[in-house]
Amino acid sequence: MAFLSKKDADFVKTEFDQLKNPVHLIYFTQKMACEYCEDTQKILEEVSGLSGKIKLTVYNFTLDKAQSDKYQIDKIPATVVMGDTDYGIRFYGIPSGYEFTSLIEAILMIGKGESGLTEKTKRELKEFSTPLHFQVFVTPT
Amino acid sequence: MVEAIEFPHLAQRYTVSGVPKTVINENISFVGAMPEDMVLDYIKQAAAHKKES
Repeated sequence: MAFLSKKDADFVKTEFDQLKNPVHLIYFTQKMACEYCEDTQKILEEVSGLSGKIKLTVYNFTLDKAQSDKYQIDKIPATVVMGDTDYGIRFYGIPSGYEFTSLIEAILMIGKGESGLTEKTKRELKEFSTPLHFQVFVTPT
Repeated sequence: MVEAIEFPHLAQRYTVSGVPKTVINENISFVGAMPEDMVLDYIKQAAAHKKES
């Protein structure tokens, strides 16, 4: 059964028409001891199927350790949303419910190459040279 | 983004009782949606904190 209703899929597909640049979804999973890994993968497969600009790559968290290390993944399910540049965007956990919207927004930001931030914010953020770690805690409801 | 229910040890470590809760580095946090200017202020605080430590 599909996660997305036809109506929702059609809507997301229309949104994805705005994508100009390629978007890479890199998904880390494993078969055992991961309650939401399978469902997360299904969601990502459906989403990536809605646009030719989106490419999904699936890695096994433990077996593909070199990739897990490369993308600094320390827990699963984990989804990297990136363009040709990795901006550090990671989704840990299932992107369902309200978080589905966040995933779509992240894809649109990357694919349109536009964060939506004001010029003032962008200018001020340029002054920071040290990386900052943001963790946004959310629940699916 | 961290789904709090799937990673309870992290939710506990950062005392997440309401969502969305944003934690910048290990020291600055806020709950709820914030206007862009305020988020920028929190970022400045976090960056300043890092320099001191």
